[in-house]
Amino acid sequence: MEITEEKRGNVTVVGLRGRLDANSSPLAEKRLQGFLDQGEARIVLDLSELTYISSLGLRIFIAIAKNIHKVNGKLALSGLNDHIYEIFKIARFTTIFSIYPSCDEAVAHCSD
Amino acid sequence: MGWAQLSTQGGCGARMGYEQIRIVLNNDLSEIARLHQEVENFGQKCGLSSKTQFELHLILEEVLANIISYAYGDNQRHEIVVRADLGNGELVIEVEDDGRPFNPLQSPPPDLEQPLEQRKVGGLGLHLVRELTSSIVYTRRAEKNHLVMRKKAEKSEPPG
Repeated sequence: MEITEEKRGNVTVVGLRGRLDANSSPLAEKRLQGFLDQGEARIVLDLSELTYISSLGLRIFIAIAKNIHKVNGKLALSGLNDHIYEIFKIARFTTIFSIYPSCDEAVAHCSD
Repeated sequence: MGWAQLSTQGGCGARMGYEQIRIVLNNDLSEIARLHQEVENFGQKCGLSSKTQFELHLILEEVLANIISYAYGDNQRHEIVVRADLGNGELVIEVEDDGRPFNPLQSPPPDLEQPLEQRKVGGLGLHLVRELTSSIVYTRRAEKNHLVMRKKAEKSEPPG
């Protein structure tokens, strides 16, 4: 799992590349929480290069979303592949997350 | 005759191919990486579609992570046996462990209609497993949990 960071205006775009599974999730959660601890409250998770996710990965998204909600921040997801989007549908994550096809749209949502 | 003798070689690419894999894992979460590697090799050898491969990885990770995390109260090493058989367009996935009795069919489904603030993620893994399989049979026998899951297997589209 590789995690990238890019500032676009007041939005932090975090790219998750590779597999978010039982092995990579603990470290990924720590990194993501680190952005929040630094005061970043407008975050886009760019998942265009995420190839796999299990429930341990989904758990992180819930945790991060709750923490961003607490500080009245904004979170959006972008670039989910078909398989991952299907898992989001089964978990009903599509109703609680703002999901966009492109990173640009997700950034626009968060910078408002 | 053991399972190994039943395996056919090179028959998987054929339309009616039959293939199986058996993986023995220890009760350590680091074993999930090896599980994924073995499942990837199996999926590619069988020419499974990327969707079926993705879902097979997910099903096995959820079941195995659950067993490794919750089935054992001691600090002993335990073996968990995973088998996957592909035949007639169907995957039969079996998992056997010697942990405490646990019937995943009796675990309550998560409440997925709650708003974000109330959403819990407990139970999500087993929910995914139930949704991605066509049947699940649980048996407790000889001090072991035995889970048999069935799933339709899609082949990848031939190139061109």
